Amino acid sequence: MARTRARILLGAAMVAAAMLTSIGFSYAQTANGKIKISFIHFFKQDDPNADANNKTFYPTFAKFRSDNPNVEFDVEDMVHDTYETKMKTLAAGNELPDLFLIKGSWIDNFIDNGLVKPVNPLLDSNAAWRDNFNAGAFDEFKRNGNDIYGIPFQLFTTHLVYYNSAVFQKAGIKTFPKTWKEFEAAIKALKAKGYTPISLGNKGKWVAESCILSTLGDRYTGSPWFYSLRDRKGAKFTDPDFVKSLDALQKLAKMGAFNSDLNSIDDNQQKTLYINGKSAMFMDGAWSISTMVSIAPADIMKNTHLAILPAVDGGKGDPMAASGGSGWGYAINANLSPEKQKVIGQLVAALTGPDAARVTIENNGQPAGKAAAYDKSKLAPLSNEYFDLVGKIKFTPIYDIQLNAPVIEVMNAGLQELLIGTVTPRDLAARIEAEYEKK
Amino acid sequence: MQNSLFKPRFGPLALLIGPALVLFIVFVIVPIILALWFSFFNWSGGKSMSFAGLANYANLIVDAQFWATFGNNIFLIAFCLVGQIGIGFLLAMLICGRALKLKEFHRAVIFFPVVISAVVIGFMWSMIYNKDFGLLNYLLRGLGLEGWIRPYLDEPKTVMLYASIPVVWQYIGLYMVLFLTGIQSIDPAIFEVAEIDGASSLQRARHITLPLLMDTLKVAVMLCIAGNMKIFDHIFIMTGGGPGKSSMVMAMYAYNQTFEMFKLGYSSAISIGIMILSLGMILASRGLLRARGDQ
Amino acid sequence: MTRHGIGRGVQGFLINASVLFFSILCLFPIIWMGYSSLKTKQEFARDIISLPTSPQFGNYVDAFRVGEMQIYFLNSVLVASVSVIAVVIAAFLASYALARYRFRLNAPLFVLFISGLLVPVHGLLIPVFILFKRLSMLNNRISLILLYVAYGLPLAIFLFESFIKSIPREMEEASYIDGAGLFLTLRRIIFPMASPAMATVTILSFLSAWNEFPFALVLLKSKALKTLPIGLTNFSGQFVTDYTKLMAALMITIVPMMIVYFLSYKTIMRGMLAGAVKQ
Repeated sequence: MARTRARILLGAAMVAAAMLTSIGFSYAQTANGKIKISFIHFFKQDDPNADANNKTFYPTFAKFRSDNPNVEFDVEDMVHDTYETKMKTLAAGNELPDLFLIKGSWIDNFIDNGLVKPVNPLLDSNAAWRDNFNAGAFDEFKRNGNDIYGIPFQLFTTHLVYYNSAVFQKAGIKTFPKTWKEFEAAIKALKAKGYTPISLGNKGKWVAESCILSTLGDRYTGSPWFYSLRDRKGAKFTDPDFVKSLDALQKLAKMGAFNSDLNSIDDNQQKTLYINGKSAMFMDGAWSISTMVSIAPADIMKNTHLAILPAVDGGKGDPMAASGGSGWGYAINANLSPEKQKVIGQLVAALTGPDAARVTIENNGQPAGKAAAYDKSKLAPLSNEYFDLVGKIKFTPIYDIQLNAPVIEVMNAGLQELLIGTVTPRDLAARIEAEYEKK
Repeated sequence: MQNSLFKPRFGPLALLIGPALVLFIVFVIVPIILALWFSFFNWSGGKSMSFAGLANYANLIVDAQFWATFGNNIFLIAFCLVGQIGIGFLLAMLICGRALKLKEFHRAVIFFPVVISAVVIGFMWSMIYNKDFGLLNYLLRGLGLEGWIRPYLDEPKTVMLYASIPVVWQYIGLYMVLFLTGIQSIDPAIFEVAEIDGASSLQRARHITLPLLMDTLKVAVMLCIAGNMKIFDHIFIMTGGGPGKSSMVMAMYAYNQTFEMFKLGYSSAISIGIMILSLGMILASRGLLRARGDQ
Repeated sequence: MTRHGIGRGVQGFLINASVLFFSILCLFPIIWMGYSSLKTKQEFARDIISLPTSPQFGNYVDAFRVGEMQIYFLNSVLVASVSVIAVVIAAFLASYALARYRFRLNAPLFVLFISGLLVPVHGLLIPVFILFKRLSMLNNRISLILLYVAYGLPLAIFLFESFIKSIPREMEEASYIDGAGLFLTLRRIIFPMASPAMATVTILSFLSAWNEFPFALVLLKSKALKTLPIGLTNFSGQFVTDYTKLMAALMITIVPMMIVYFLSYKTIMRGMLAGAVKQ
């Protein structure tokens, strides 16, 4: 007995010693003539709910690695939320990896701190690849005219209304409402039938802003207002049109369009309510198409269709528009050597080129570039519906990608209050404006 | 006599305190000094750093949002003082008394939540509070108490109350064990004498146990304040500070300023502010307890 | 039976019933999570409280396959146990000096250590990261251990110091008079007598090291070094729609603590009683 215990202790001590002495490893492995590239991204390996981007990334990256045995990768994959915290810490410590993913709203900060450099040379070294991207794919990553700081892999709307046509039928609604009045009437009818008209999971605070208000706001103000605001050319958050959009959103909440626990459930749970048949609609980005295809049961899926918010009375915006963009793009470290830069250029070209785009699209994703010839039969009906819809609409700016972080912080937290009626549209607009004017 | 035995000589003293002190200074004090340094700058996280003097602190003092988060911490502390220390003490007394059966079981089970990580507790209580799939609403419906169902984490006025319950729930066991250790170190002879004198259990608790547990109580109050002034995970997971900022606590506010707003200098000032406020609260509580103890 | 006796009986029943109710309150959520994690998503949606009709381990299989828990698990065991041993030794020695010796810096040093309890770590992530970068100690298991020891010291010293103070000096004096040196006296007399505090310190510092998330997130890079909380977020984030899978993931971190706790529980409590009796 005592001897066994001693043996176990000895064994444990040896394992511990071995593990402790193996610490130096990652540093000891110096490049043995190989080019070593550090790379952090949020495509989680073996993700059970892998989306189209994840399903594109792994085979493409694996192929690149086997084609380029002289390149050694030091890769860290993590989930989205922890990725953001980690990258901001690395940025503050000037420890960013050679290659990483950047968000439009980080760019100004990273430029100020000398952490990133333009990716134009990468793009210009391969004109065919550069010109394959869809129009507008680079908009969020452009600064000082034509300097580009990120290479996108996706391009989609952040606003879509996913609705259940069978539930709509039950409430006597034949087609998706075309005007705001009809939309409000539909909500009342759905509510009368006992459904939650729109399930909303705004715990993460960005859903109401990114997936609803960015589009609803534009319906009222029109895009020129937004650009004037962004470029500080006179527009204000307190302008009546923007206040009207906040008012419209609050009215929806007051008439019971949303579930009462909208601030304590998240964007995944809003889908759960819809999938369980409790809600008639939810509003989310196009990224949810591939998720829906993989998680929603067939009976829900066959009745699920896509729409965008209807026109509003007296709105200055184009009713055939939805907020859209690329969200994230590949960015490079400011201190990247020319040698590494060349390799990274080839890698990113592979990850965002026409072949990768084909894989993305066949997995019901929305690539940033045009896809090589793909098998249309592989697409889910919902994907085809999306591409039909997108062909007819234009993209408008996404607030949280184009405005700086403090303003968005105030707006997002305020929307949570707006939706439960603890702040008036006018007061919220004033609060956002106050933060906006600080700079 | 005593003095000669416990006369400090530098050698042994350095050997005893040295390792702890070096570790503490390098890995706790140095980062705090760094934070203090950063707090004098406008800094967004890289080379873009400009000296701001005391501007961050001047802003902090008038930042209504910061004081609102401080208010939430105070609420939590008050709730925990009553809930954790009160119930913890009561349970410890009962476990030491005669009436309670299954003492081992209770002691083991009540302490158990303490060993679970705050993140897990946060997830678990999100599920308990969930409107449609939550345990709580299910039980209330089962008991015919539908009227008691509330939007637990969705109502700004009461969100702190419901967000505090898991914190209290988790740590009652810790305080119970602290008090148990304290009670068991009291000479049992004192109780026997009191019992012969005919003191009731309530009287014994009030006049003997409590005064003798003054040191333990001080420890408990201090742990309670220290823990709740820097609380983060439970609430971060359950509400993320919402709705709006109604359940945001100080540490979360500092985290937000760093990781959402890129205001690293200001966030450092908040962290320093949290430490100063915590120190103040603890000194105040010690003063209060000492005053009571002297009565 | 006298009226007094009946009153006692009623009182006893009330006490037992209410404490039992409280204990169930502490345990039930975890039990609920435990058996719900063996249900399928559909079964859970139908009835959240019923027992699983036929227990499914699929949720766990998924969590292990996807989460690669074994790597994280070993790392956590290693980091937490080394930290705990170091905290107990360093804190015990320092506490003894602070409790027994009178010297000018005694009070200031004690206050310095204790003030460590007030440090909000989430506000210090970036300073700590920059410090370890300067020390060239990023992505290193020892860095994590050093941090856990340093941040574990305040609570440990706090508990040890007051406990050692409560130990009468007579036995030490006898030992010194017998000619035993400082460390021999510590080992033979004080260390065993401090066992109740030791048990508390051990379990509390093990916990904080086992559960620590933010430092591990920012300091470690290689998957081979990462700890359990990192592993947990890596897959719990992906399972939020699926309550039963999320519960399985959470149970994976709870169960080891549960085993450690209920195995060492007797020792902890025996230590406490022993400490009380010796006085």
